[in-house]
Amino acid sequence: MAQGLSLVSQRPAAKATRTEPAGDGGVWVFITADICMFGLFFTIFTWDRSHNISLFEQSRRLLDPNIGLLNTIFLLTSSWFMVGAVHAARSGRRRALLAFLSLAMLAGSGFAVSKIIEYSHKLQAGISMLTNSFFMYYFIFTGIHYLHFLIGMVVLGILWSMGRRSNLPSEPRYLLWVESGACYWHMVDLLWLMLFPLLYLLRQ
Amino acid sequence: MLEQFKYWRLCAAAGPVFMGVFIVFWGLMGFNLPPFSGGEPAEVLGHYFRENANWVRLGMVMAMTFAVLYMVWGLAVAKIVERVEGNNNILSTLALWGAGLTVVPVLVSSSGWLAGAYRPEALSDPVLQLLYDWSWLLIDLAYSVTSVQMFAAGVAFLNDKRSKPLIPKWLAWYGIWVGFSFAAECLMPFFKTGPFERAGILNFWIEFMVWFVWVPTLTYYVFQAIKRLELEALASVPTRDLGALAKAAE
Repeated sequence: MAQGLSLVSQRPAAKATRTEPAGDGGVWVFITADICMFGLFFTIFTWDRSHNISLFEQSRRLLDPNIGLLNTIFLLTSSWFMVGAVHAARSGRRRALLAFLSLAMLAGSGFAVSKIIEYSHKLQAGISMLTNSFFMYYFIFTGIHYLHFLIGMVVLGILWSMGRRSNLPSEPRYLLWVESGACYWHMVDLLWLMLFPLLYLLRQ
Repeated sequence: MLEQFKYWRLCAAAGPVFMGVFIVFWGLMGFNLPPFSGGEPAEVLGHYFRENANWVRLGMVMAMTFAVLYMVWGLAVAKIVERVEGNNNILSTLALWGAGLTVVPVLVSSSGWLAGAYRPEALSDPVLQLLYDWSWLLIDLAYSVTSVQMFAAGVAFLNDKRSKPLIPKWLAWYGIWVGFSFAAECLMPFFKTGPFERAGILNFWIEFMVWFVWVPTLTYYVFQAIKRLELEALASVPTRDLGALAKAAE
């Protein structure tokens, strides 16, 4: 597991013929489109920020970077367990696969809870997406990211449920879905790794 | 050309026709490309309806007349979905209903703009603004019916067991992504300026653009799929019937 998740598929059939990305080829279209969309989000945010630096800085100080860091740790830990799940699936170890998927969901739940607590603190303090431009971006970008996260959690749940069925972990089709799910889950991480410094850390 | 596929092709061609009509009449003639910002005062909307009443009337009449073509196109897509999913017709039915229901908000919202252009001289600026706002809220927030079409077709195409799928998987994923991205329209009612308002870069330019790309791209692959299905049908016909088929093909 320490070697990390290779972005190149290790499915035997694929290896024999050509090198191809991990997971279903088409899922990379989804991931690319999503990253482009978030890339546009970040560009708009940066552009708007350059015109309202003092407002954005004042608002940023109202966010707690420790909670942001906690969120990051939850997500990265979850992704780390997902790497373990992929390796377990590739070697056909069903018990390990189910254990890693469960741990990935458990770590993900930590993110779900801490984000809800963070949102509720902001709302209780009278801060919403209509407060100012910074909080509009904060709530919308992290909200859309949260939606991606929830979809990812559902995908992990489905993979866990499928993995319980006998023989599935060694089936190429199932492995394809595990790899695709892992790629998506890493994308959720990657987007957060951009959002965290942009919203919580970027100083004046 | 086999008789049954003639109508499939006809339906598939309805997609680009719909897009053309939608862009020219609803978009350009109806002054909806781009729309007026939510931050514009009522006087601007009032002036727009009064000064351009006939253009808006013509644009919306044509948009309403041809809106049904989206459903016709959706039937061609649903027929391909049907071939992919086999005996289970859930996804093809959902894809068809999604396309059919997409026609409703286009029709109803166009009637809102048309109502504003019908007798604008007798209506006050705030009333005209209300009609304009209401029409935009409807057409944007009815996105979920189109998403249903995209999800159903996308899931079916991803489950295509052929070694070379009828519709490429990347397009299936793209359609699913577009369906999800439409959810950003939910933000539109909360903003009158900025990237998330109705004329904003995200809620107008990006969301409409990704849909405008999806429809013609899928249409191209639907035509390719029809060609393949037709060849498969011809290959499975006994030799003695080929003469009759050849006549039909003429």
